[in-house]
Amino acid sequence: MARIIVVTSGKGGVGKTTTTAALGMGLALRGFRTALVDFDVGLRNLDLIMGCERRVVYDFVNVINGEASLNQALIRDKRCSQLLILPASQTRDKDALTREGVGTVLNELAQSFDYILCDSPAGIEKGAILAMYYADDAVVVANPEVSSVRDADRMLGILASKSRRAENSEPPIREYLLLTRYAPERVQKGEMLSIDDVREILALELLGVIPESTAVLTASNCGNPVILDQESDAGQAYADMVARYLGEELPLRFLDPARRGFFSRLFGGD
Amino acid sequence: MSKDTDPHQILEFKAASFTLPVLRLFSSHLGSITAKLQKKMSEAPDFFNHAPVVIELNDLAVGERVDLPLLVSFLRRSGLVPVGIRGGTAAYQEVAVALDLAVMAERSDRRRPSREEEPVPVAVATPPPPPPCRPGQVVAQTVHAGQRIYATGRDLVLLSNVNPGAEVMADGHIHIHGALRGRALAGVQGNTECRIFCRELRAELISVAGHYRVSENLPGEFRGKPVQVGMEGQTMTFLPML
Repeated sequence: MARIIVVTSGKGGVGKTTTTAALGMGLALRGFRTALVDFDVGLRNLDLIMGCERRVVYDFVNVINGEASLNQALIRDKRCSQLLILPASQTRDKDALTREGVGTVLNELAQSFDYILCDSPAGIEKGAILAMYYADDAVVVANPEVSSVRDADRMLGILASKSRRAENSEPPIREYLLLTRYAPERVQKGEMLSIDDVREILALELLGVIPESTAVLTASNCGNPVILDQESDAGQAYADMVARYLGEELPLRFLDPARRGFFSRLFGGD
Repeated sequence: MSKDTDPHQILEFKAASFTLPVLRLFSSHLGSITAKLQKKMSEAPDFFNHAPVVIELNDLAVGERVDLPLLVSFLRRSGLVPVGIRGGTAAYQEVAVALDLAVMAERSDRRRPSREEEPVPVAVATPPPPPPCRPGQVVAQTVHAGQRIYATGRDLVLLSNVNPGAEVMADGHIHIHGALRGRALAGVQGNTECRIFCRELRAELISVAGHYRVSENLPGEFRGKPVQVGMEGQTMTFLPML
């Protein structure tokens, strides 16, 4: 039976789609049949991050409305054949999604996949609620910053009360915290919340800490999930996250400010 | 608290539930009823003074008829406030209406045994009704931003944290065995005896019986400490806890 994972945050711009792409690619590279579903109807991004935007013919809403079959809409990743993407519709809005429709599509996907990742839109409106409704696991993405932490906490309350598991009194969604855009130098200066500050409010199992990195933007712009860039700290941190999700115990990395070289110390500046 | 109410509003109807003592009658003999009642009330005069009471007729055996007007006037003279009846035949209900009593809905929560197999206990053997006691509402999970919990007519016991942006309210006390980082409002109906207890005071707002303080007006020395908050007259008091 497939496991449904929602990647959610409440707040926008914290790295949900980047995380969905990285986690999905990571699971697929380990041999799991993985489907990525973009719930951000009207503002579709996942296909861009995955670099398959020019291959989109049919989308999630077409499948829900019965205008296309799931197989017609799913796009197979060119780098990893175990990974398929169900893009969101660009021209519709979130009202096009219905609980039953989403349920039917996820159910059909569950027949042939090991993991289904739901990339949630920002906010706590219909799209976000439907993205998490059927989830078994939730990766709550937060930045080390108060409004993001507050919004993530709000989302935890919703996960605990409005999901299918909550409504049917089944075991609750397994919640994980992923801290992204972590800048150790800024934490040290007190400009950013530390890991402990965040965990004081969001007392969840920490799946990983992704350092702020230029590699993320570069990867997004070329449509390459950052996890494929194993030279970069963010790519390695995402690979660690995938391993931890699968139950491996790894120490957190990239938490300390980078040692400054002789010249930068000599000449100052950041 | 009244920010939602229209200044021109005169009244509104709201649903609320109350725990009322129910006087279950097992005998129609007024003499034994009054004797037993007097004995019980002398044991706990404070409890019965001006207490509303519902007369339950369902436990009377078929054929037994209690003189409702007499019983009601006895109850009133004794300082009780009969507010309604439950069960009984249509004839009883007519009498109740004539006495300005409400006819309460039949209880639906448990199946009543049929009349035939129901034993007819003797009035004197009636076990004393336990005093109504509603244990506080217990919440084990962290209360997250945007969540709101209201314990109606009782205490609220929270085993974990109340996060920023969360709101917990109770008609009674509020006990927080974790950190209070959101809002806590005790004695919402105006009971100034209510208190808030917490292991770590970092509240956005605390209120007891409508008197409130926001975060920046909380005494600094109690910040992050175990504390109890109550009212003394018109002032909010903060006491350290071990």
